[in-house]
Amino acid sequence: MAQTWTAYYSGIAFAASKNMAAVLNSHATEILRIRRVGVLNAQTAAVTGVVCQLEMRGYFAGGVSLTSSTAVTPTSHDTTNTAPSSATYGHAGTIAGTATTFRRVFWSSDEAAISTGTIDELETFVPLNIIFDAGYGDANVQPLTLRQTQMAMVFNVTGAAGLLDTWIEFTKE
Amino acid sequence: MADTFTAYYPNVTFAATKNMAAILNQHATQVIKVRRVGILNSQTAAVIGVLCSIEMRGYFAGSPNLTGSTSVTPVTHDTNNTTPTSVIYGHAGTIAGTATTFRRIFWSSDEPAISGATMDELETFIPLNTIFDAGYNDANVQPLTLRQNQMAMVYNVSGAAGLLDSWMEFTRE
Repeated sequence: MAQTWTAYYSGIAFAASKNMAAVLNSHATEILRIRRVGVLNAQTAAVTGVVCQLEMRGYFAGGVSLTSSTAVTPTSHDTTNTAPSSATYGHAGTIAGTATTFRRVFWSSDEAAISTGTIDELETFVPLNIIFDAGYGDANVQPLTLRQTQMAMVFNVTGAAGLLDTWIEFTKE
Repeated sequence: MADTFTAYYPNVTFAATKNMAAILNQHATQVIKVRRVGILNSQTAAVIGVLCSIEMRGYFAGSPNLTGSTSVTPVTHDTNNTTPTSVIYGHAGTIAGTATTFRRIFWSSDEPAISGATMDELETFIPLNTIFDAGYNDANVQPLTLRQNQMAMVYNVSGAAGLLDSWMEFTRE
């Protein structure tokens, strides 16, 4: 099996046109494959939620870069793994490149409540909120493959209230 | 693994007897395998939703064709892939051929609200709205295989309000 990591982006504030979670591969030969991406409601305090619009994006062309992002450190699934040597993991920042959309979902940024079952509570269930898993369990299908200067991102198009957790599971090959 | 692509059809207006998303393979030898198809609620503004009837269709006989459609460009899962040739990806247009139905579902075209949990909010969850995935994770089962002049389509039988996103994940073999 390939060396595997999870990058977790915790409690990221929603804002319009914002990078909520990204992986940018800058290495010439190392390939990062995005295996699964999930989002989860992270809002606990009372908030006036709005409907946000999230996109699962790939950036493959147009001078792809991510500058001044807030870094996160991915966690290895096996401590004997060797970390990718030239990758950026972060949220926010300045995005460059041409975006392509793989998925687009609406998201209630309202806080989850203990005894209700509306959309903001359903957003707390991990299996329901996996937004990308191409090829997971199926070796015939390619995951999202990041070569040099290519990026995967969860991007918030609209909506500016509440908090989001995002996890990105990837392998280095 | 095979060269993989996602065709994304954003914000397609519901209308009765309309092609909402289609792939037509016109190549003599290249085979397109449709691995998964999903749909998502894409209506944000207030709308008087209706109950739509959507079919996941294959067109294998009766000279399948699609003319005058609005084209979309599929996104590759790996920029090293070679783009399929002689394939039409589009919505709307004039359909020819004999339709066979693989799935038929009802769909609320109402807009999702931040604290609702009715049908239109549940239509924003990707795992709940994958409408076709034959053979995914099971190499004994064939996906929908498009040979020359064969077509896969998300077709709206009835209902004319709201917007729909569709995605089709396919391989070229």
